[in-house]
Parts: sequence; C-alpha cells; structure tokens
Amino acid sequence: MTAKTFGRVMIAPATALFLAVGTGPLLYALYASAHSFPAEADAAPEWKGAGNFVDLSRDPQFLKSVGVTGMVLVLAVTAQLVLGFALAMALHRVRRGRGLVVSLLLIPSAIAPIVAGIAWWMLFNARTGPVNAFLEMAGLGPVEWTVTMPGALVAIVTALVWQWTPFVAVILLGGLTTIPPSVLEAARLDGAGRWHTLRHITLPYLRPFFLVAGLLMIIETVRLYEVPFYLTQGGPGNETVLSGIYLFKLAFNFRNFGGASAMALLFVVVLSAIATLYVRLVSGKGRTV
Amino acid sequence: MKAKGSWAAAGVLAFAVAFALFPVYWIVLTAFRPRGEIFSHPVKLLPSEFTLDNLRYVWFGSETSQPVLPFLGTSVIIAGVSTLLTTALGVACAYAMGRHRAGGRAFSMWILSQRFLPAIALIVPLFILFRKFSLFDTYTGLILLYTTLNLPMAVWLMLGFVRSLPGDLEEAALIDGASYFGAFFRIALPLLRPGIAVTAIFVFLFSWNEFLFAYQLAGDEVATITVYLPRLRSAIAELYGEIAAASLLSVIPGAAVAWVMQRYLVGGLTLGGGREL
Amino acid sequence: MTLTRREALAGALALAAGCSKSAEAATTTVKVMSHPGQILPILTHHTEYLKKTCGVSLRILESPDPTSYLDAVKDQQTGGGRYDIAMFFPRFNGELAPGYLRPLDDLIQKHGARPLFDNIVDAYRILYSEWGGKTVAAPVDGDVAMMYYRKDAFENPDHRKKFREKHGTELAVPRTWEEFARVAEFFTGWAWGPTGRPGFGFQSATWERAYVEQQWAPMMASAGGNWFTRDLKPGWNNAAGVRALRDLKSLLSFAPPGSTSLSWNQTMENIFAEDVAMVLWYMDLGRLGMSKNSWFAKNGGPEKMKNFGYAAWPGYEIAGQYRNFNSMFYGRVIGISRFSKQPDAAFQVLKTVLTPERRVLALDDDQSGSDMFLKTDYDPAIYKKLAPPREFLETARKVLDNGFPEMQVPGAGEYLDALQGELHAFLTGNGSDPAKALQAAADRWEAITDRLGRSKQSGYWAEVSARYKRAGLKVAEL
Repeated sequence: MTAKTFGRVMIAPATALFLAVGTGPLLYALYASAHSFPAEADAAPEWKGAGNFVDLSRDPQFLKSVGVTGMVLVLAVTAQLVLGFALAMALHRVRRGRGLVVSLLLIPSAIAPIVAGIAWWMLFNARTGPVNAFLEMAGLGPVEWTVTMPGALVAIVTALVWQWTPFVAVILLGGLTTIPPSVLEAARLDGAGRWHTLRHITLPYLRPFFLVAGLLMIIETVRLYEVPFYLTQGGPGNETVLSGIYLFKLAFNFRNFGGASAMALLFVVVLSAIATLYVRLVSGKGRTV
Repeated sequence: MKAKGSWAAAGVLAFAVAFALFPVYWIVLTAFRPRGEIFSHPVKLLPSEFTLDNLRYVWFGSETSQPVLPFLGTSVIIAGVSTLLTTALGVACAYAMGRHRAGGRAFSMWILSQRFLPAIALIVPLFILFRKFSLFDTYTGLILLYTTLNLPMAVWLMLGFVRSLPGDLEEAALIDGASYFGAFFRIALPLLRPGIAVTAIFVFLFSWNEFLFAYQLAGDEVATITVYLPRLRSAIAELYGEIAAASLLSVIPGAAVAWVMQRYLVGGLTLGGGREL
Repeated sequence: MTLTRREALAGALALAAGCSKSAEAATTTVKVMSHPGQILPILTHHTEYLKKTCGVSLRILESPDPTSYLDAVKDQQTGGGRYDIAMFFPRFNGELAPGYLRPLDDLIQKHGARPLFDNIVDAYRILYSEWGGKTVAAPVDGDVAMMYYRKDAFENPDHRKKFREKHGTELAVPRTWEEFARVAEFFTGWAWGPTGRPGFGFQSATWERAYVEQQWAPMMASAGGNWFTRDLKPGWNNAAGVRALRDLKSLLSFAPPGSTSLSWNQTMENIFAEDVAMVLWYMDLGRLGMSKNSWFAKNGGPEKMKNFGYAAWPGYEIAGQYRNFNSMFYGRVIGISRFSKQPDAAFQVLKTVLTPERRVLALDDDQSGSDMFLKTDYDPAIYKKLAPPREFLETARKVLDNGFPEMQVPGAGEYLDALQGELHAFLTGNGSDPAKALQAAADRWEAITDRLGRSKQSGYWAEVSARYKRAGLKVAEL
C-alpha cells in the first residue's frame, strides 16, 4: 500500500460525513438566503434575491449584534488566550497535585452553558447576588450589572472567560508537553534568560496550539446563545444581543428563515476572513497551516 | 529562583481554582437551600438552612419536574459514543494529513470551514434530512450529527500534536518493514496520547453541552440533559434549586472524563521522543 | 349568581362532563405538548382518570413556554403527527389558528360540551378561544393582573392624617395613574411598615426584557392607545403611548432598588421581604399566597398576605372619558392539531380539563400555576387546600372585565420583541425622551408589517379587533 492510499483511507470516513451532513445544508442555506418564507406554513418560499441582505443592513438589532459581538470577541478571546497561557505555564511548572488542579479547573467547561448563564445571572444579580454583596463589603455601591452598560458586557465577558479559559489552558498545556526538554535544557545551558526562552522557544512551539484554541474560541463566541441569553436576555434593551441570540431570534422567534440564512452566510464570510487574518498573525512567515 | 517561580505558579493556580470554583460553590449552595432562601437580601454568602428537597425533586421527580436520571443516561450514551467515533476518525484524519499531507492544503481549510456556518442555518435542511432517513428523535441521528460537528475541532486539535511529533521513530519502523498502519498503531498512537486526551475531553464536553440540535432534532424519546434544564427555567418555572441540583448531577460525567483523561495529559512521556530515556 | 341559577349550571355541567368512552376497549394514546414546571399539574391530575374512565393514555411532551408555539409551527410545517394537542400563549393564536388548530365546534356539538365552554369566563372565551368565528382553543390557565395594596398602610390613621396634610385629599386606593404616583411617592423612603426598614410605594410583576410590555401596554390602552390602527400602523406611537411610558419610568423611582434586574420570582421575594404599598401582580399571588408550601411563599408568607387588599389597576381620565385596563397577558390555551388522527380522544382531554370537578384539582393545588378562568373557579367554597380570600376572588372576577388582551396577529413574536427592546432600553437607561423610543419601535413595526404583507395583517387585526368589541372592551378604536 502506498503512502498516498494509506492517507486516503484514513481521511475517507471523515470526508464522507462532511459531504453528507455538511455540504448539503450549506447549499440549502445559500438557497434559503435568497428566498423569503411566508408566515403560512404551507406556502412556497418566494424569491427575494438579495432582499434579505438588504433587510439586514437596515435592521438595527442586526447591526447592533455585529458591533457587540465584535467587542465581546476582542475582549473575551484576548483574555482567554492570555490568561489561558499564564495558567498553562503555571500548570506546567507545578508538578504535585497537577492532575487534581486540572480536573477542578475543567469543571467550568463541564457545566452546561445554560447553567453557566443562569449561575452568573444569579451571581451578578443586583439585589441577591454575591458580586454586589462583596462590593458592598468593600464599601463600593451595588451595581445593576445585567441591566446597564457596560455592566452587562462585563458580566458576559466574565462568564465567557470563566467558562473557557481552562479549556484554552489545557490545550496550551498539551502544547507545552510537545516542547522537547532537551531544547529547553540547551537554552538554559547557553545562558538564555526566561524572557528569551519564552519568546524564542516556548511561543513558537505553541503557535499551532494558540491557533487552534483561538479559532475555536472565536467560532464559539460567535455561535454563543445560552450564556448571554440567560445572563442578560440581550439587555439592557438590545445592547447585548449577541449574534448567536439574534440568529436564534431570526430563525425561531421571528420565523424569518430567509433572514437567518442570510445572516448565517454573512458569518461564514466574516469568520473565514477572521480565520485567515488570525492564521497569518499567529503563523508568522514560513509556517504553513 | 526556581523555588520562587514555583510559588508564583502555585499562587496563580490557587487564584484560578478559587475563581473557577466560586460559581460552582454558589450552585452547590443553591442546590441544598430551601426555596425561600435562594433569593435572600441581604445575600447569604454562607450556607444557612440545609435541605435535600431539590435533590429529591430532580432524582425522583415531583409535581413540577421529571426525574433527571433518564436524561443524564441519554446524554452519556450520545456524548460517549460520539466522542469515541469522533476521536477515532479525527486522529486518523489528522495523522494522514500531518504525516502524509493527505488531501492537500485545501482539505485542512475545508475541514475547519465546516464549523464556520452557524448551526442555526443547518436546522431546517437537517430537519428535512433527518425526517427523510428516519433519524429524527433517535440516538443514531444525534450521534452521527455530533460526530460530524465535532470532527473539525478534533482534527485541528490533533494536527498540532501530530506535527509536533518527530517522525523518526515511525520512519525507523517503516524501514524495518512495518506497514503504514503498523507504524500508526504501534508507534505514533501511544506517543499521541496527550493529544488524544485533550481531544477526547473537549469533544465529550462539546457533545455533552450541546443544546440546539438536541432540542430541535430530538427531545421527545431521545432527550438529553441540555433539553431537561430549560424546562426548569421558563416563563413561570423558576426552579433554581432544581436547576442547581440537576446541574451538579450533570457535571459528574464531564468531570469524570476530565479526571480520567488528564492523566495522559500530564503524566508520562513528553513528545520529545525516546532520546531522553 | 343566584342559587337556582348555580344549581342549573351545575346540573348542565354534570350532564356535559364525564367521558364518552367509545365502544372499543383499547386505550388511545394522546400526545400533549405542555409547558413544563408548575403547568404540568394541569394535565397530570387527570392521567389516571383519563386512562380508567376514558380509555385515553396521556403522553406529555414538555416544551418551554416562550417557544412552545414554535414546536407547534414546526409540527405543522412537517405535516403534523408530533402532537395531538399543543399548548401555547394566546398571543400566538394568530400564528396557529389559520393552519394548525382544528376548529372545535363540531366536536363540542358531538360530545355535548357546549355548557363546558359556556362556563368559560366571557373574556377568555371570546378573546382567547375563538378565531374567525370558530372555537379553536380552550384556556387552561387564566392570567390577569390586579393591584394588591397594603391595607395596614392605607387604613393606618397616622398615615391618613399625614397624607391629608400633604395632599389635601384622602388616602384612598388610587383610581388614576396620577393618584397612583402620588400614593406611591408618599410611601417611599420612610419606615411605615412592620419590617422597620424604609418602605416603597410600588412594584410590578416583572421588568425583564422578555416581558416588559406587560406593565406598559395596559397603561397605554388606558390612555387611549391600542395595538394597531385600522390600517396597521402602530396604535401607541402617540400621546397615549408616550404618556404611559413616561409615567411608568417615573414610577420606577418608587420601586425597590435593583427592580429592573429582577425576575418574576424575585419581585415576589420583594413583596414578602420589604414593605411595598402597592403591587401589580398576577393571580398567583392571591391564589397561593396564603399557602405555606407554594413555590414562592417565603416562611411567614400567609401572615403577610393577610395585610393585602385587592383592587383593579388604575386608569387614565382623559377628556372626560375614564379607561382602566389591567394586563390580561400570558395565560395558556390548548388546541387540537388538525393533523391529529384521534380528535375525539384528544377532545376528551379538553373536556376533562374544563370539567369543574376535575378542573378544581389543578386550581386548588399549591404546586400548580393554573389560575382561574372558569365561571365556577371564583366560588370560595370549592377550595379545600388553598384559602384564597373571597375578596380576592371577587376582585379577580371583576378585573377580567377590563383585561387588556394579547395582540394575536401573526408575527406577534417579532412585533413584541421590537417593542420590548425599546421599552427595556428606555426604562433601564438614562434616556429622557419616551417619544424617541416609541418612534424607533414603530419604525420596526412598519418594516415588519411590510414584510408580512400589510393587507393580510390588516385582515387579521380586523378580526381580532372585532372580538375585542364583542367582549365589551372599551379600547380606543384607531
């Protein structure tokens, strides 16, 4: 058996699945985005061309969702990557009890998003939540987190950082284990300082892992529904209607399936652009994806 | 200097664990509090009254909630089986792509882009597809779907680990006459254990916590825990004690998987290969 | 109601009740989509009865309240078969009546259930059970809001003296929103009640974004607004809507701090934990408040409930005309799917739920969220476990005559979401111009109407409007 055949055999099942379950729906999404689906369920979809996209461009809640999602992306994903890296380094450093600590840290990721949303809603509740209780103990006034800005934004970013930073940390920790100790040892013997080691050895080795973690976090944040929904319901007003929430509303609450498909396609485009940019940023020169 | 670094690291970890667990503490508190205590003002930061009522309501069912165990069981089956499938297919795919450039560069981008289309756009066509092949409200349907959904992430996670593994040991085996499959199974796979562990943990968690498709494409006969929970927090039902109790029960499988997997992650050989031995 | 009429009604109901079990002994499975949590008891009380007496095996499929109608729509779009009976909020009647709900009049005739349906309070029967001249749904939960006021606060001679000195009028249950504001302000900021802490004047059932219109819309209607004008322009983007919104925002300063962050259950916690002079809440409070085991009553709840008196919401007196509406939102109805293969068996379920002797089981239950909607539900004698005061039941019955109902045209979900976004932003923010908020919402409404088809929507609204009139609502016709 040649290497090429071996390769093909190994990727065949995955390819089949993607073709069956991935491509068909994508084509349907293209079709749906150019039609409108009347309220009467038995009526046929009507051709709308680019109409759904035009409607979206005039839809204040859609435009708002783009802006706030972008903000959450930048704030949350940056925090997750930076803090996740710090956590991974600390985990790599500490040997005793590392297993227990990793398991404990992963509990936030093991909590269903709806529960995370509800739990943080309870924590940030203006009247009965411990966050305000702690603030008042420190002499600061209570904050109406979930119904003011930027309180609602802070609440959402906090919940996201809480839930996903351990995820990032474990990926990066896995990445740290791929660095051969001989390389680190050689650098130490050559007198390299810690900062130098970090910049020129650790981070380059971690590039693919930052790539994966970052992209997954970006995709996850854009898709996000339960956490912001149960935390703020999109409020105050429409200030925290993230894209995941608005997609859900379009598709289900408004039954505007044409608009939802159009928005979904827009996200494919935007995510591809972000992914390309991000890959270029993290890959640097010479490293292919 | 090394000792000081360890203390700093320990400090970071202590803070991280405290931050990670405080909301969990709050969930535990809520689970074992009587209804009237859950929303107190001033806030009761420490446990006051203790009750097993909420746990009883979700375990045995009550007038206002169904027993949670069947839902947990369904989730275990679906998440467990799809994790096994996804990890197996993902490792195979990533290995072929990383070692043998199977499919070329376009393939890897195509795989990742599978996750770019928000799930919601898939609902209607998947619904039609599922109805057509009688997959609606079945274990098979959800398992296949989750496998497909999580495969891109699995492949991408494993790719990093595969590429970081120097291929010399496998090359040596091939020169000695091993087949490609043999080199893969007997040499590469054991060394890829950390990557497999990471992948398995996250594929499991993603499947476990998935809501949209579990609700839209199933929910009557095949109902997962993520479908159970919103029923406790809808317009009139604000059963926070029950939600908290059910959540505690539902964290156990995920935490168990994480506990099992992390041993491969943090212990054992590093991927530097056998040179250090 | 005189004794003889009551007897006659009971007799008619007894005749109509009871299952008409078909000749075949085999049990039929009826799949019912129900809201979860406290709504389940509405059906589960009858599972045994239905099986033994009617040969109907109930299979309950839960669906969370706000989106349950979507499951019904999906059932319709996929050719039916998932549910025999669906439960939803009546605001979505317009979405489901045209294509999903099976008209019930022939079944009512066939099974002699007319007295059961006539026993439904007029407001619910006309406004929430009918569509296009046919009966399409049956209520299972009647939500309507009233004012719960603190008798101890209002009747206290010192308070009355203080109020008289301050305002020159007697301290009385307010009849207009202006009076309401005065009374609310009077009771805010000083310790007038048993908690010894500064009290508050007012609390509303909820300020959550998803439900925020429940407080504003009836005020808007009292001020002379309506959901739509005849040509489907928003009926509240005018002086009526602005006035209601401005007044509501200023009332917020008389509510406990943090109110806009609170959920339904949490405003209830307020009521028992703080001294709040006037609370605008739904029926659950009065029906369950005296029970120690209800899902919201804190310890000591029944004691505190004794202090409450019951009244209708205030209204507005504008140009000599007085209108007062209270919220008749939410509530739940069930309908039979036109795709159901066993409509007769499904109808047995509806009959059972409406039969007074069976209905009372779900009503007189401290774990049940089903509030009164049958004429016979307001008789204190039928309650064995709960102890709703007679005064409460009488007021509950009365406020229904002025309940401002749901809008019910197709697209309700989208219309209301656009409105809620603007209302919530205005109430929680620092903006001072209610007209601007309403204009923004009105622009969205126009876009939605254009997308759904203006003439179609006008037709639907005309049908709904006609029923408002038939029910005797003094809503402004715009």
